[in-house]
Amino acid sequence: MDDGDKTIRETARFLDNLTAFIAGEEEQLDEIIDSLRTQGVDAEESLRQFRQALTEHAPTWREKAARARGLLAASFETQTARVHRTRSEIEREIREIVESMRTLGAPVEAGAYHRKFEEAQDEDLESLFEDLQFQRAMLLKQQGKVDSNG
Amino acid sequence: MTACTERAVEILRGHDGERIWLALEDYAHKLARRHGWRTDKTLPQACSPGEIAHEVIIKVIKGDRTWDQNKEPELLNALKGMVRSEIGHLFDDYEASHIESIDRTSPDGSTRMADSFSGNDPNPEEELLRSERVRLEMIALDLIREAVEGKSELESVFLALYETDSPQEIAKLTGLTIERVYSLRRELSRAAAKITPARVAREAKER
Repeated sequence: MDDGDKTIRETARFLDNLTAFIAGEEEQLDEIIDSLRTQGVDAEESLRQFRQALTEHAPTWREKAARARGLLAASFETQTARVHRTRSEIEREIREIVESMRTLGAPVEAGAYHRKFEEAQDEDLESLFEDLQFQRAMLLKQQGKVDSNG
Repeated sequence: MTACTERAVEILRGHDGERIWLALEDYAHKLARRHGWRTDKTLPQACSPGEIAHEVIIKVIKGDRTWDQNKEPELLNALKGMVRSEIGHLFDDYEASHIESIDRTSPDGSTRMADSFSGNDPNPEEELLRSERVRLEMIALDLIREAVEGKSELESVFLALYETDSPQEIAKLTGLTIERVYSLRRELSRAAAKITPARVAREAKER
């Protein structure tokens, strides 16, 4: 081995030793944080990622339970939204029936209920809808008879 | 979940978990810098040392990588080995990809192929790459030498590092107390952090 090769090997060995030495195992947390800071790393942000990684990939039973609760709550919200959509549909149909009955010249006795949509329960609303459907059908039937007699 | 994976999760969730996570990230940065002193890259393929360290831990807690506790009882040491392997592969791939085709046109117009070169000798591109790496490493060493110059205790640690990486051995060789060696290690670490691969590459262009 010539002197050039020896220098090259010594340089590489020195850099390896230096790296192993400064990356030693005995470091305390504050030393590590200090070292990371000098390398431009935000230790707090890194620790946030650590906690997230544990929660995501190795959750405790508490975290699993919290996640299950969250999923259940989300599912419940979806159900509620679906019920609300149905309710709004019923309201729209009630308005349509009331409007068509008014066009037919029939007094809308259900108007009072109609104004109280906000207070009505879902079941009450559905019941009102069925009543109005029946009244309109009766009205149309009566009108049909009048027309055929006239 | 295997017993070793469970144990790894237990340790990471314990009082030492945060230290292990940060120590591994710190280790990845220092190791990447060491490779970077040879290749002028902190890490190829747009990876960050922190990402490598985090991925290794996530693979262990998911059970995608196995910690063999019988082989390496210390979790942090096992994780460091995995990071070393990941970073080593990245740089090996990078260095291999930077050796260009060795095809050459001879003065007589014929094409020289790989067979034209003897099997054991490096081809011209490998030789060029090697000499460039050596030059970068020597500049890194010069910059470290300049950083410790005039600080007698640091200079003695610097010289001892030609022989060993063990703090105990360094204490013996220099006559310093082990506590003092640890304290100087911190100082040397801060100095080394300033010698980034980019700075070494810049110096190489200027010299």
